[in-house]
Amino acid sequence: MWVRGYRIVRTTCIVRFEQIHIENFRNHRLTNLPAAQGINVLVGENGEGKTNVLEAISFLCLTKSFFGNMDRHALKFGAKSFTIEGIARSQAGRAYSIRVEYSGEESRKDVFLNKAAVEKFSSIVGTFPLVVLSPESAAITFGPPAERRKFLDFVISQSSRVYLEDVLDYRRILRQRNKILIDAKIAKTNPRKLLEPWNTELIERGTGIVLRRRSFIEEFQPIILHVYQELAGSEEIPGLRYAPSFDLSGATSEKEVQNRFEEELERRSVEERRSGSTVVGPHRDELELLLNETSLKGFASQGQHKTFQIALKMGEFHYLRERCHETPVVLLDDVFSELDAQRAERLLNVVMNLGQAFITTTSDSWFPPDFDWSGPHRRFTVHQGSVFHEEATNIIS
Amino acid sequence: MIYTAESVEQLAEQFAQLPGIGRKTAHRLALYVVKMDREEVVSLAKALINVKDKVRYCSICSNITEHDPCLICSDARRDRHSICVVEEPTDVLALEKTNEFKGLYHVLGGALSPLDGIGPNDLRVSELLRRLEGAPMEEVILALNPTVEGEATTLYLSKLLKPLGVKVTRIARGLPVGTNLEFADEATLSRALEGRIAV
Repeated sequence: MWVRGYRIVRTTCIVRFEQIHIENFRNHRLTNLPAAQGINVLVGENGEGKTNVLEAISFLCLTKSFFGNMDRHALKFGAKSFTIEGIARSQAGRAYSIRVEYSGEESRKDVFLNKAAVEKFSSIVGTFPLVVLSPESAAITFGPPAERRKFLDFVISQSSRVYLEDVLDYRRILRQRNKILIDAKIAKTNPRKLLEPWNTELIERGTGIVLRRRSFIEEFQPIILHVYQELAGSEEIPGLRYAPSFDLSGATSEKEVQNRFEEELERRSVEERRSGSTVVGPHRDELELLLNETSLKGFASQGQHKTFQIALKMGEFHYLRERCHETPVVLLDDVFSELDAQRAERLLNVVMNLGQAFITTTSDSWFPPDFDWSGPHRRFTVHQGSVFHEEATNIIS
Repeated sequence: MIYTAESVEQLAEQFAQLPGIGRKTAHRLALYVVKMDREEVVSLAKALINVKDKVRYCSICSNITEHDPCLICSDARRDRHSICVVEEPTDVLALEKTNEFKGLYHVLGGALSPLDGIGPNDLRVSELLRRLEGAPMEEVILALNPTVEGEATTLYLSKLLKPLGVKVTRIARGLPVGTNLEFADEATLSRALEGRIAV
């Protein structure tokens, strides 16, 4: 069923959560979730704590919230610390434990992988890959370019730690460089000499980012095509176009891209001095989203936007599975309520074949009435920060 | 909220200002001092004052020392043809422990960081240039930290020093000795790959 040589049958390592333990996290005082291997549906009214479970899972996978919330905001009111622990097992039977502890008093977060303290959090990102689809995902297609760069960085970082380091370094270099520019603007001096060492670093790290983004988008193209058509079942052809902040056409080698970057930086030096900030580089890239060769923005319907968002996220799943050889955990936050019956059914069929998924919903009326809950799927209800497994008696001992 | 003595609180507050010491540790240390013998406390206090009174910066290399010039700069057995540039005095300590480098040092006092208000004039760069003038220097080794700031400083200095006709080198980045390749993180490994050398 897979596309153009993209289905390389390799032994992908599938890690699935078996137990998730949440303590003093948002409105959860003490929650134990015996997760199923397939779909885990969390049903509950608004504000009962469904999304908090998904956020807790994101702490296990990314060591932080996927909303970008501050750690201390996740602390249960009145509690001094929160703990989230996940017990996972690979297909080969190997058990993993991941534990995140946050102390509000010391503003300190500790992460333990198999009981050993993790010194550098970025080193475990990608160990448990994650794909999140939530109402906030709408920003990917509707929002400013920064949202699409965030998408690129998020996906590529999970498959390449070198990219992640490059992005972190680049941000720091950019801040240092912008400080020189703004200081020079205020003092009305020429920053050229001071900028020199930072230019070299900016170009080196920035080129690494640009090259990886370009090759990622090429690889991602056939995946998005496949997933989109699976969801929409139509003649619509989705596309991605990389629009870097400087002209890349014809430049293939690292050296050539570096030269282009340097030329553009030089050409626009007056402009950046006037604005007091760096105007060229991957922090100004855009990823254009296309439908039948036309830009999605200002032309596509709400439904097409929604389908594109889901396709990007499902595409992310397939990309990570191919690249990391690990099957990501899928989090779907309140996604089905926004879809019509036909699209909901198609999405459900797609998700059922993905591996482990956690789905929140206020109503599960969109589920087929004859759905088989005795197999690898489970249904939980969430009420006032507690999670109940309805058919618990014969499954949990 | 003060359950202990006022003087203990004051001492704990002083300890808490030290780097790497939190409030709890500061209290533990203060209470430990209470239990110490009077002589021990006096010698600790003396040691603190001694450091402040006796230690100064070497007028040549800017390392911390009690004798000016410092023991390294005044040691006739040291090789005066090579100089190793580092950020902080602790880096000299680390390099000296290797017993491998026999040349001289120059402590910059930090690295370029516009965000912290540190520019080339805030580092001991002109002192370095003056040392190179007329000295029979053959090699300058840049041994700065592998951070964004250390890297910028390395680039800045190499640009400045190369026209002087002196050989400028930098220390290699890569794998720690004693680790296996499989345990190295990808970023370190890829930097090590970048800096590979012919055998």
